[in-house]
Amino acid sequence: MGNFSTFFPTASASNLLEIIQYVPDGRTFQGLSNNYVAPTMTNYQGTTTSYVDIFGSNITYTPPEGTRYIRYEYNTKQGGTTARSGITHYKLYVDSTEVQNAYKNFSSQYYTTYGYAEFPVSLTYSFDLTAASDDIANGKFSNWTGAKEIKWMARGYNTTYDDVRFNYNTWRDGGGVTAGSALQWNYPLLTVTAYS
Amino acid sequence: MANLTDIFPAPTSNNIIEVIEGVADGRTVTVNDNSYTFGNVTTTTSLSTSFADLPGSSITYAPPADTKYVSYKCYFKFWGIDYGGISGYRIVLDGTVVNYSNRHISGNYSNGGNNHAQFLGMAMFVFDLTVSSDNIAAGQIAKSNWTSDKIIKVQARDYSSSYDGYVNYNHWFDGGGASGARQKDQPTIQIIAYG
Repeated sequence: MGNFSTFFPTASASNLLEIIQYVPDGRTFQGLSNNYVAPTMTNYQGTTTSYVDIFGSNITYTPPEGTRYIRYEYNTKQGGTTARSGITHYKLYVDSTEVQNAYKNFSSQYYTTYGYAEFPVSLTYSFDLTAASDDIANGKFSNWTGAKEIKWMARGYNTTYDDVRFNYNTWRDGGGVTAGSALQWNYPLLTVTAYS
Repeated sequence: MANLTDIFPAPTSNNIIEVIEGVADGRTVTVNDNSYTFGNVTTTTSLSTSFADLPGSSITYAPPADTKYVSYKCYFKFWGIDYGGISGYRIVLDGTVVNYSNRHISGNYSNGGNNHAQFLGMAMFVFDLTVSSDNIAAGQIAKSNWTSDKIIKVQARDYSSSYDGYVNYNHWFDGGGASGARQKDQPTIQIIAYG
């Protein structure tokens, strides 16, 4: 005989509704009511002085019924060039509209020659779905029930500071990583959490 | 008619009782019928050589019944404007410093005047509510002594006036200097109550 709750499942007492999390290896992550297909990463990504989508940060997300807040988190790695301090700009978009208050700028300390800085970058934001009307620039929504695309875009400060690389490894085991090898890059991690 | 689960309550499927999270833009988040209003960060902050509250880091919180652990995290933006910008951060619970939450962060040292180090700062701690008596400096507080609101926040300072740092600051935007909505960086606060 099964447990009582096997026959009469109950809602969780927690306000945590679901977590979607994947690395971009082409897998399908099965959420509560929707599946999410991760892209397939095959190399690191560089930057220029124009904004481009950060690979693996895109997700077209449909929150489960009852969602009141969404946490969106993309963990990547910045650096690995001789671009001095590698000043990099990050913009957050929901369905092509920028969430201006989420803007961030990351850089290492400046050095003219030894651009050794490689460090983790956590790009997070918390969306409020309880607003009376949409105010996307401030991450507030009144009626987010369907699919919306969330993503980060990035660019370098100028040509002196661009060519920052995402998910790039310069060194390994006391030496340089062989160019073109699978060890030269690593996966970022995308996490979307829905709360009631 | 009552719900079946009102009569036969089932255990939760995980040990997360609730998660409170928000950006310090003045928003109010309501969870389990309790409302939490976050600070509203509208400008950047230069640190001084004395500990002062990190704007936007404060939250007033009372954990639900049966909470065993409370996790607090504050994600904020740091900029070292003098040399490496050595700066210190600590978590304070209702006026008492949590000693082991202390951490210093800094960029690499530079005396050339190009102080570019800007990265994410994280202040975090997990309070243990399963103890029988309080030792807040060690992050331990008996649940029976945390039944009403307490303020959790981050305090920050410079190492010295020679190593000044800023918080909640984006210095650059689109190849130039940042201003307005893009210059201030609003911290994100997260509370998790575990049962």
